[in-house]
Amino acid sequence: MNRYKDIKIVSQIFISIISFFVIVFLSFTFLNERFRTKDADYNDCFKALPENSMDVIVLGSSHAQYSFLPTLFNQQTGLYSHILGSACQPYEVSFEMLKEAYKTQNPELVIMEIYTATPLSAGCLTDGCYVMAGYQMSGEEKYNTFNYLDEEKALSYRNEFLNNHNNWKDSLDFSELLKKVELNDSDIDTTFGYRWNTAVLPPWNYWHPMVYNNSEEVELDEIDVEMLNNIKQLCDSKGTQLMLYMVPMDSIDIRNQSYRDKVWEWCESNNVLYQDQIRMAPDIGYYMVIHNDGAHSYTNGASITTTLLSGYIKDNFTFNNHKDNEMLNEKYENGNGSTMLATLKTEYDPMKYIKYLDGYKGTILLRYNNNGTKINDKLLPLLKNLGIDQEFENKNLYFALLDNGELIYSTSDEGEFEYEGKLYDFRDWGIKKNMDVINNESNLSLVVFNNDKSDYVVKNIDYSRVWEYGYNWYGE
Amino acid sequence: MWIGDFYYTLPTTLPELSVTSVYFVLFVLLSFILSRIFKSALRPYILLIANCIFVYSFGLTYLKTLIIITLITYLFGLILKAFRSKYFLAFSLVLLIGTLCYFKYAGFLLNKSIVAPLGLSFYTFKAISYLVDVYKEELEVELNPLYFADYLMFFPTITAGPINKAKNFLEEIRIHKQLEYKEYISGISLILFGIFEKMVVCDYIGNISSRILNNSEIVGTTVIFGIVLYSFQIYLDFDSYSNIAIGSARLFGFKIPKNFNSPYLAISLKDFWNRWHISLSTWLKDYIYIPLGGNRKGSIRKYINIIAVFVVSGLWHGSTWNFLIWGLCHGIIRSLEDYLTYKLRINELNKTIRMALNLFGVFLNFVIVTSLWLIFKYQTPGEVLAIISRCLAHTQFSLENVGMTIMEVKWLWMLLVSILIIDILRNYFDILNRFAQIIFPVRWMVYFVMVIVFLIFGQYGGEFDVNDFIYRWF
Repeated sequence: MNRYKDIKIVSQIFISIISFFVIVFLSFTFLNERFRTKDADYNDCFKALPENSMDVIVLGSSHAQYSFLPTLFNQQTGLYSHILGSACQPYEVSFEMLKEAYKTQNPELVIMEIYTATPLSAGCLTDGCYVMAGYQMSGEEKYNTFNYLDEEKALSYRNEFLNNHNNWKDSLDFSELLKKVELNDSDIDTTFGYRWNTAVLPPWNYWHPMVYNNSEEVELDEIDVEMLNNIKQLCDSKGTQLMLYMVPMDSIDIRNQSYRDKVWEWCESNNVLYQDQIRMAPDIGYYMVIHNDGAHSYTNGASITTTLLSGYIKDNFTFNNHKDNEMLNEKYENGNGSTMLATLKTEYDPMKYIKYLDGYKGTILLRYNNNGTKINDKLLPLLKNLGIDQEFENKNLYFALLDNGELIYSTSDEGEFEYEGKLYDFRDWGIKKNMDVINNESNLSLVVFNNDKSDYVVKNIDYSRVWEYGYNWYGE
Repeated sequence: MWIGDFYYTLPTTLPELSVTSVYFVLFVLLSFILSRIFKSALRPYILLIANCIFVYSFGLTYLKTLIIITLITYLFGLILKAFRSKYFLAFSLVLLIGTLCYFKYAGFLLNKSIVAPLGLSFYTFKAISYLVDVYKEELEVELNPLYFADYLMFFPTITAGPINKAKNFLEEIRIHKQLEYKEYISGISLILFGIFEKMVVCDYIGNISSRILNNSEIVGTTVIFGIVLYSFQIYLDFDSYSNIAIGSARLFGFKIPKNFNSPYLAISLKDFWNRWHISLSTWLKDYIYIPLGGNRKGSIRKYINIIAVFVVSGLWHGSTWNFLIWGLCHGIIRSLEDYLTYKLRINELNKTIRMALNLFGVFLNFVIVTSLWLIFKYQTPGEVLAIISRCLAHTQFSLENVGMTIMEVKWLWMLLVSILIIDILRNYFDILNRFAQIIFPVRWMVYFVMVIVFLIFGQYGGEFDVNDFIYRWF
């Protein structure tokens, strides 16, 4: 009888234990969804993309994130692209990322940046790529990725909630904690995986990335070769074209260059097209310091490398399934404004700066105050291209407002002008927008706004003399 | 989330069965189920295996030491029964205390690194009490080595107590008591409550306290607040462990008396030590204070005995000077309090005045105990003085300076108010026993809410490790 009672109680207990663990499991699952980090930069933007919309998927490390401008690529090729990259992303993560991408996308071309095959990347061991992968992936791919980590880390990354639950501290109220994160169009990051990198100091010295004539005998890591083969196989099975590339960067010594060359050897033996932008740097006018902070491209550098890729892709690959998407077009349009602003922020050469603005679709303000000096002859044709056809020599003051490449307003007198609900006040000492002073320096200034006018960049140009730094004239 | 996650949580080697880990909970449940599935005669064997696995998970050396101490104590128990010689008792005590002293103080005195075996202070005191009780014939010697080993090696209490006496335990293990479902509920609730208390409340409060006390730029009332939080941290830390230990013991059919009874509501230091770490206070009273003569040999001797007890208590906690000073301070203040109570004839005052004095006593006692925790926490007088000087600087109270968000501040106050309410309620009745009697749906609703709160606010995950129990290393 006692024994029977014991068994009955043990059964009751067993059921209660199982029930408790079910509660824990369900609660965990419920909270895991609600505590996903909603970082508009990366985490959800890929998942929020319309299905089968991307023509090109870019895989790779931070060098891919900093060197490929999807918005500019779209301008130049009409194609939609997205970067699935992360800091020091190894090939195995790229492979899993690609598998993840195929769940919702059917790209016609995969471009893979190859930095992490070189020994140089060993210095950047980081969990960042796994965290990023966790945010961008789901299911088996997510778990496979974390298998490359040690168990404790893997466990915490597999379950985002283990890392994110502490974010309760950032909520404003307890009621906010259980709100579900919903993905929608607004979660599509208008940079499509690109990362800004804007220089803050003018460069004093500059050089092309190093290229060597000799090489060392090296072998690629087995796992890198295996993953390259896997990626190629996967692309082939999906009918996707594959291309590899290496972005311009410094600190590539003979050994690292040899590894890079090994990847190109693999490409040649597998009929995969590739582009070694380090070797091409002198031809494309890519300079360290001016276009690259030593590790990553600035936005002006990304603009060069993307343009190079665009041309190569247009010449060598075919795209038959591109479908225009209104929402994406709008996103790319907005992204273009932000990209332009970032590019302008990194450009110290006034000549190039004005060239970038050619055909710009946003709003540009110009303020000119003669102040007894003569405008440089080289600037006049550039300003003319922009839509400002003026003999500045005969003027003391000149103000202009351009929008979408057209001259909307120009005057030689101080005064106010209202345009699209914004009041611009042009003065000899500067410009105000809705009472805020946005420029009060220099004799020739350009103010460039992004699409929604939430951000702007000011370029003050000392037009009367040859610019201080020799680099201003390179390529001229 | 993927069901496969649970596969990945499985360890490849035997993990440390740290009391706040999932492994510990699973280990307790598994041992408990096994001990109930098989016939009752097998329970002591299963328990012994569980005890060994638990200690082994922290290191084989710890297990070896524990087995040796267990064997020595068991054998001396038999010898004392056979001969009842005070020389044998003295020899056995010297052996046990010598081992304890070697591991605890040799490192400090010889400036060497000697790691004390896990729970040595606790099981040595249990062994001493067993031998003394056998010698005094207050306890029947345990002839069954299995039962005795289960008592001394009992895993729920081995790392940080309570220091339960042998008598009840050995009686309970002999009768193979049948399990009641309500006992299981109250045991499991105590374990869950203990884990919740440690990982949600204690570690959070501890983290805030550390953020305040470790930042030398924070001064004034904020530092005082940090010290108060430390005071709560050390209480909750030890109380939570005791709850887990008592709850686990209850699952195996052993009733271990509670170790804390709302200590910060004590009206005096004497009252405090009747409510704080009750098993240690009782042990010190039974095996040091009374044998020294207690209060039977005049007031001066009584005060010396009190101070001696507290000095031993201090040394038991640790080998550094600060613990000795901490014990000494407690002893002196406790004696002074006793003297003043007698001189001022407080017990003869009328009820209203006594009530007012009691309220003031709660406050004063908290201030004294909390201030003395500083000596407990910091090893050098310089560190203590630095904290005191920071307290004296005049600045406005600000939790923003600590880097706390609005939600953190809200949560901290909620926790502090909850602790206060729960402690006041605990002062009057056993909340968890009542909880075990609540109807099933309500009880499960409470579990559900606790799980959600635990998952969100618990101190676990990639960002931080759960702090170890403070008392684990005493």
